Amino acid sequence: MQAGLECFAKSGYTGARLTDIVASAGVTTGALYGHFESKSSFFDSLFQQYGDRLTDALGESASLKEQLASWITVSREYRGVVRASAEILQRRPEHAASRRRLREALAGLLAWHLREPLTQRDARLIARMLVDVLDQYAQMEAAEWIQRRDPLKVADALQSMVLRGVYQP
Amino acid sequence: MTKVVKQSDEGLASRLGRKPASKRGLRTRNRILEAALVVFQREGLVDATMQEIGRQAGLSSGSVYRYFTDKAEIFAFLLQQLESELREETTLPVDDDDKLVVRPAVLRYFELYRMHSSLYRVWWESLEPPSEFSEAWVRMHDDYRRGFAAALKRGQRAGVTAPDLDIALTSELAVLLFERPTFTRLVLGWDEETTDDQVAEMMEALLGSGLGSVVSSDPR
Repeated sequence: MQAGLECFAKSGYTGARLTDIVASAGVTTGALYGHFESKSSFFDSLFQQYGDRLTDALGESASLKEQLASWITVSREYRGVVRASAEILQRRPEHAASRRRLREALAGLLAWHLREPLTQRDARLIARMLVDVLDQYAQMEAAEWIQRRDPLKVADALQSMVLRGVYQP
Repeated sequence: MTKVVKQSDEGLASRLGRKPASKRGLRTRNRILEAALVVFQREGLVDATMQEIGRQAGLSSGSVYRYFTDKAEIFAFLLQQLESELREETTLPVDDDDKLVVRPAVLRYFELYRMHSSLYRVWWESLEPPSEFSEAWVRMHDDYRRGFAAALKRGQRAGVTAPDLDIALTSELAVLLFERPTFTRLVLGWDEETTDDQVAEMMEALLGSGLGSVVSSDPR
């Protein structure tokens, strides 16, 4: 799995080859094919793992800020999945469907920490926006378009926009 | 209203295809461009073929090749047009208090996005793996980011921006707040029940004075 992450991070989805993954993991092709039918099923299981890690991390966080920060930390670890997922999001409807399901689940977890006077509808809306921002932040960081920052600093700035905006009242 | 963003960039000017000499040639090229948009919207960039574009335009693929070398050149041409339109049309106005006027800018952005949704679809698709198109995307993103940073700095000089605001980081996040939810809603079509006004209102709050104390730190 680790070898797969590195390979997707380096070569992207289309560029990654199972034979390379096998070579760097030091297992035989047969052993890998024993577990996965194809590159896509191998990737799907990596994506599933990434989603589970995000879900756990957000579920265990005691505050919104902690959730936002752990999103960035987990995505950093799954950089290869983040990049490959961006590559196929619009090309594989099944993958888009799992991204969408994950987005709803994670937005639900973020919404836990949002409270009145926000209406439920607005809490949902803002939670989805936060998911989208974090998704894109992770993608840009994975592609090295932006510098790596301290996840807590990013979380702080994002939460602060929600609470205080950018202008003094 | 003051234009804070005023970018200058060459975009993808290096790949413009060959300019047709005759009026008829120009018409044919436009037909190809229109057909390409339809095919891109349907197939995406990776799966689109010159043959398909020709068929959609009612031309042989041979005549398509007379105008463009490949589908990437067609996309580059369309993208260059979009880039200049966006630079012209997307501005970050500030009011007399030097605060951003968010709502009309957001609504205009949605309008442009809808007009060009098939191009946006392909543009996002081409971010990974990196290419000249992802570079163009990053360039546009950076222009927006600098625009936000300039507006926030201006607000700081006027004493309206929160004094402890991390301007570099906040303007990065502000651009993402525009870009990504608009993509998920208008290209992926994920939040059909959400209206333009609801989203614009929320963006206005986050780029205004926030929503107030709506975050609880209590564990559930």
